[in-house]
Amino acid sequence: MTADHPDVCVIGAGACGSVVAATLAAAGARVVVLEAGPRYRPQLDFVNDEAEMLKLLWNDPRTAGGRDPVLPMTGKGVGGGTLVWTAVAQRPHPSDFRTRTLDGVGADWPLDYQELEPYLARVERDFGVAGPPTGLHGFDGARGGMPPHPVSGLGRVLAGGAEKLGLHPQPGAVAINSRGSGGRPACIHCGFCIEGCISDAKASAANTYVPAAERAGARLVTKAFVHRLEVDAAGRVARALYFDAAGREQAQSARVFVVAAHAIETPRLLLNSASPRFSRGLANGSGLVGRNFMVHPNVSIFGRFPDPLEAYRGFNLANVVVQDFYPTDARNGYARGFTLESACLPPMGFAVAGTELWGAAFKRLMRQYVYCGGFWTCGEGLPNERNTVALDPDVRDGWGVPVARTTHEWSENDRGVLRGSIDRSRDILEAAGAAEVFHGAPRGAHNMGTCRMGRDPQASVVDPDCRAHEVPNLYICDTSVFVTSTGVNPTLTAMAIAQRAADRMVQAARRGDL
Amino acid sequence: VNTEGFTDGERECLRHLARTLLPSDEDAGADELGVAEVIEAKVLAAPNLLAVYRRGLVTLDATSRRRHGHPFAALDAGQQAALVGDLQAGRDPEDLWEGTGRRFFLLVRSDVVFVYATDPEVWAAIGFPGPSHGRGGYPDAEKLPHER
Repeated sequence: MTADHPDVCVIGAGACGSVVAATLAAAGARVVVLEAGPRYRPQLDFVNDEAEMLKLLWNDPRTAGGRDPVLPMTGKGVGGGTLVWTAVAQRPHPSDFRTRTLDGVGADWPLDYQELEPYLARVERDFGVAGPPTGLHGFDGARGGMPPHPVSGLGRVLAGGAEKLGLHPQPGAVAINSRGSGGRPACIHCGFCIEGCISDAKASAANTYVPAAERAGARLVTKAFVHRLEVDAAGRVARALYFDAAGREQAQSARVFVVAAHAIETPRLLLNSASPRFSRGLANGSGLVGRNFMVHPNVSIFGRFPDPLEAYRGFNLANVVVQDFYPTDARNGYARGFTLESACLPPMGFAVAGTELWGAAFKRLMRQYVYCGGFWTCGEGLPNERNTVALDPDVRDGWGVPVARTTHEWSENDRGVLRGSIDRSRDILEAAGAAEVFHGAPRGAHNMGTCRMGRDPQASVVDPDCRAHEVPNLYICDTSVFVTSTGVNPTLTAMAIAQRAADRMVQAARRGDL
Repeated sequence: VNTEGFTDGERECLRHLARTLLPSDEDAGADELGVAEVIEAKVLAAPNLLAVYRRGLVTLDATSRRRHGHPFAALDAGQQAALVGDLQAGRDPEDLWEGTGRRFFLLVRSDVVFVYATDPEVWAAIGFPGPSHGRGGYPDAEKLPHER
């Protein structure tokens, strides 16, 4: 048993937990962070090898079911998902927060874009986002202050195709240094981002907010897997039970608990924390813990070009983003839309995600690898209560704790978005000169939505400040709180929401409401 | 039944499935890369994955027996390819897969091509120069090959 009693216990040292830890520690709170994985040293532990990156993933068992099973990858270790992220940091659009009102689908958020904008800008600055300050059609771009990266050779070819069609390709917003910043060097465009960035040019929680939190006095415990939150007689979380690096069960008490374990492990932890008082799982009076599990309808689509592109040169977002198809277009058979992101892929990512070919045809294609390049699509997947993260009744992890089981089915709208993203990518690739266009099996990317925020305790798990409706000293700060999925990679948005929640926690503490 | 891993029959089925997905030609295929052995080692460390593989291989053999009277490993290459094509397309004329055939295809395909595309000798064969960080990355990434 640990004897200390800090003010705040943060569970998860990823993108969002580290923002909260750094903010609260800087405000004078005593903070302890429990992280399930180890701490990595980029220069020593990371290599330019797609097979080696697997160690950075959450490799404990999870299961997937439903008509269209999905299990998007997540990270484990100090830095969490930001160890393996592509660092794409596009802003959400204002329409993302009002899809029910504007388009009759999904649901409206209890926050709007204007409310979130200052926090987006703050995270862009503190985390280090490079990109154009103005986005397509005048939407806000990155306000982090770092200039955009140059567009890679592949990117210029794809942008040329898009421009021929009258579209508006743009350099992307990425949390990768385009010049030395934050004590870290500029990117050398080595082609490996999701394998762990050796040079540390890519921002991760581990090289930004985590050290900031530790400098401000936060204590980080690694290899601490939290499996249960226990409540006291008043219905407040009293202790987090975890298995430490030596496999012993420990208890961490605190006044406030912040769960930032991402949209699969967060609902798993709450459901595994059922008690007589919270019989359906902690903070689950609404029954919505684990419901509305959302992923981005995603496909990798490539063209084979007459001349070599050597598309492995650059960073994973080969720095062309097309958002002309982001908003709802009444001519489509679906609502909402998607972002197209050019993709710099080493061979494994290309072979696994970029094609379904096999046999002799697959090997013929791989011999054309250097002639191929294309897009990674990020469509908006709509919330659906039947898509869930639940406890698997049959499978337990090495600790004996029930694992998370995802259940997922694409909606008709999701399928429309997928089709649209394939068709529009094909148009651009053909306009850019591709001799042949091919794509891999549709996948789900990113996990979101499993502890939705809202004002109504019957229809949401947390309030707009990420505070659990039913448990006053419990906050959830990660993509679990998303009401809709947006049509962009979710990390920046989630961090901005976490930054806002952390500020609100400080305010609540100062007025004695924590 | 070998509870430690695959049965001999399952192992043989996997070897032929891997070879169908990744044949040997002028560069390495599943046999030379030891793909089936790599996959078996991987699934032994993940009990729920082992169960998925075993169920899939058993069903593949059952489908093969129903269709041709022999296990998958005893079919000729054309018959094996036709069966894999059915899995990929989600076709199940024998009605044995309960909707899991395409998912099993995608799982095995992914595991097979992973071994292929992370092999340094394969990189050389397809023109991928491998790790670049130690060589300074690509400061000229904005240039296409013909512009350098």
